[in-house]
Amino acid sequence: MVKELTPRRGVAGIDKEMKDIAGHINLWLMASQNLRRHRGKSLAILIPLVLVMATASFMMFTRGGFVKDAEIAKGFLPDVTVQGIEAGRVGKISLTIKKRIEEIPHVKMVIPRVWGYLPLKIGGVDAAFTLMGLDLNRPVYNGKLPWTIERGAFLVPGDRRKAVLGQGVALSFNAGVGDRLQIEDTLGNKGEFEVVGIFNNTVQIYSTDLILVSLPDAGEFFGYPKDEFSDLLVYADSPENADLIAREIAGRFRNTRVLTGRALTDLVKEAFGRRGGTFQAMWLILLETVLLLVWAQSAHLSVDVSREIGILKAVGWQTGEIIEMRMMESLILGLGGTSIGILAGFLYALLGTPGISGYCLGCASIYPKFPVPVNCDFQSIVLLFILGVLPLMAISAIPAWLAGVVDPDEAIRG
Amino acid sequence: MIRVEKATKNYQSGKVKVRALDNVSLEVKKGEFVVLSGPSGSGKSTMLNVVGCLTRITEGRLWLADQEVSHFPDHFLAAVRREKIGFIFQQFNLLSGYSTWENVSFPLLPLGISEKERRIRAMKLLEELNLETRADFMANELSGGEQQRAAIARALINDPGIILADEPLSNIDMGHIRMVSDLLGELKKRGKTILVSSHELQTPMASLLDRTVYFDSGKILVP
Ligand SMILES: Nc1ncnc2c1ncn2[C@@H]1O[C@H](COP(=O)(O)OP(=O)(O)OP(=O)(O)O)[C@@H](O)[C@H]1O
Ligand SMILES: [Mg+2]
Repeated sequence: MVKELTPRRGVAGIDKEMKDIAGHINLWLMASQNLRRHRGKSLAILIPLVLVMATASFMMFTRGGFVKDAEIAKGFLPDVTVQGIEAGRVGKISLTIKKRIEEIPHVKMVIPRVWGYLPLKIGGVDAAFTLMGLDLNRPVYNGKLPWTIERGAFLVPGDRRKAVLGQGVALSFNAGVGDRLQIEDTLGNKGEFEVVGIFNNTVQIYSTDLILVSLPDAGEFFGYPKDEFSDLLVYADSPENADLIAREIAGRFRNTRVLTGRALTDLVKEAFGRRGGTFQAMWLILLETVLLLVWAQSAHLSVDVSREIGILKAVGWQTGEIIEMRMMESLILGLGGTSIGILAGFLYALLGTPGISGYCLGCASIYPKFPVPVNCDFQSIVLLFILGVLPLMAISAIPAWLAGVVDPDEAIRG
Repeated sequence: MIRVEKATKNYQSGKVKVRALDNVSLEVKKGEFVVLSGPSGSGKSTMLNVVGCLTRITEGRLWLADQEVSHFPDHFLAAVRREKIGFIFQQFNLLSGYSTWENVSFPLLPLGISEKERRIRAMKLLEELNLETRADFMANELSGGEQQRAAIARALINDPGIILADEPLSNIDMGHIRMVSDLLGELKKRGKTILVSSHELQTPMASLLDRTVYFDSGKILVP
């Protein structure tokens, strides 16, 4: 008996399934028309949603970038870095000290570096790059390259007057692989290098401003005596011994400054993490605002909403069809708002966060001229879409569902 | 066609319980034209709401087209309304954000009928009700009588077997009363079962009527 009255979807001649699909399409078309029709209401939800999603995505992409940088850096930073102290300031460190450190138990390897900042004027703008010389004859960083090369190749032992550039440097000088780079900093140091490779930006924050050359080239450039260096990178046989070694070095050599690798990365992470936290709080407040707004609107209109649902039910709509239409409206709004927001946030991050980059980049003083590292992965985007769409859909489905479960007569009365 | 058996409908309004229908029974045959009459508050609208599956009776049973529907779940009742019933509300109940023709064609939308076809069907009915010039007006831009005629068009768009009209002439002017009565007469000729409420004893539809049922205080008066 009951079976006879299952919703046969009228009109003979067309396959029932086709009719079902056409029914859904009608509901979706109606949903999009409704959004256009109630433009004011749609915009009242869309605009805050875009703002929230832009903030959220900007935060996620950049914070993700910093944390990733710090994580990667941790992978190749030395266990202990030793700098020389001359007359109370950071100065050179000698080959003798290097040899004596190598004799300390648990020390596996000591790699000398010569490096310094290059204050430059590029097109009238102040910029600071880092020129760094590495001992190319030693296996660098436990045999694992700390940087990856995007174009060209890394330096090989015996290379002279050759350089690998960070992307920021390559961009500033408009230099590519095979070009010759002439450098003259504002302190009067001069040098010419052939570009053999460009780093990629997975470790942007560390490599973007870097010019990597051989140890003797860097020494020559900065005018170091042959057996002196800027610092020594000390690798332990196991990371647990880093503190032990650091204490030992600090005890033996009075005129040194000893930094453990972990202390460095923790510093970076903490700086960015705390900034990220502020953004996170801001974002949550904004998200809450949108939800409240949407909620207030649907509550304010609840008598209207209920009446509309009652009428549609009275003329033969199923509750499910009404909810489907409402959810479709939210889905379109949510997807649209989230997409625009993510795009805006992403562009803002790529453009170098105009307006707030000083605040955002905790170490703006170290990397003043380069964009915030942007890291946009699939997972973050999926998460952003879930956050942008689901609450909106739930918030619109709930009143529809509540009004849908009562008799049409009651719903119409509100 | 329609059978109501010992139906009671209670409304709870705050602490007060209202017995809008009190143990009433009514049978209407297929093709019959019946008027429900009686004073204000006597239960005419409630009876139509019950028959139209817009509300459930507290006690009793209801049959439509030889099927007992009083125990049907919500989902099936929606299907009954969609396929068997055209309901004209006393308060019209058009959706204000939509145009007249859209309101008329709402019942067709979830059926997967294209917008073009929906408009064609709506326009045909609007013409019959002399409302085609108002097709693209927003529902809230219509006069009371125009809204009532639009509501009539909406009730007929699904070509239902049962037409339930709650005071369908209450807002309609003399000229259009003839038109609506003629339309109802035409529907009766096509075999539709029609139930109309009217608090006026002398209704303009008198010539179409098969019989009149009198309500008072939720009961049917036996003549
Ligand atoms: N949803 C409701 N909640 C509470 N009471 C209701 C409800 N609907 C109807 N009633 C009550 O039930 C009684 C019958 O109402 P109904 O609308 O059926 O009367 P009616 O005969 O249609 O009157 P009228 O001629 O004025 O339209 C009235 O006393 C009314 O107050
Ligand atoms: Mg009434």
